[in-house]
Amino acid sequence: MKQIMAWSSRVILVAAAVYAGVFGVIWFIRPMRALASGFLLGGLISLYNIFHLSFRLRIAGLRVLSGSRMPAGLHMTVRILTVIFGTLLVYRFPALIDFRSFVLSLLFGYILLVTVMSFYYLRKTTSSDEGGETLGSDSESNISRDDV
Amino acid sequence: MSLTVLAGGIMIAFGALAAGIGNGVLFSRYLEGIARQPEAQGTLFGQSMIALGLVEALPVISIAFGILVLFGVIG
Repeated sequence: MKQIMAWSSRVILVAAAVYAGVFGVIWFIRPMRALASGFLLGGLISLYNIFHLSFRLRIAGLRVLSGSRMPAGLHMTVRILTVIFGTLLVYRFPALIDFRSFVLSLLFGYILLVTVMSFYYLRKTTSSDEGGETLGSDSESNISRDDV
Repeated sequence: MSLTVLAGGIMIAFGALAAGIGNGVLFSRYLEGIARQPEAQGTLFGQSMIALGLVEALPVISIAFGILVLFGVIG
């Protein structure tokens, strides 16, 4: 759990920094300022959404493990309101933020998340074929495939 | 009522509805899995994140498009 969290968070943060850096540089090029700010706004909202999702999922899992009876949700309303906030900014400042780039870049975080996580499992499965660790080996489980 | 407003409303409503159902099913299975087999939390977490990411991407886009259609920026 800690292993996958640390690895994926690090990769996603590096990718986000590169993304913000690239569009930050583009923002300084005058004619493409609206386009770049749309990409920046959408990308940042998307990244916030995936970190919030990951945080809520971890909290819910920990609550189940600790036996707490307190309900834990995914707080999807918060993520939807974040997107609505960005959209209202686009509507309010159409000359500063391009709506096409904003809507397109809302997918950035989700695509990054799916790619990074899939790559993690692909790498792990490949390394298990070569005698390395297997899926779920970061847990304490001793159950093997033959036991199932 | 203009058809544009209806289109925007349908986009937002159905996007949110479908995502709510999808997220609910996935999340309940995730919690059920952890409760049954606590040591599998690491594996379940990663796989749930992939599935939730795929489920949530669509409504986010549809809500953004829907609001832009409602306000007349598109259409």
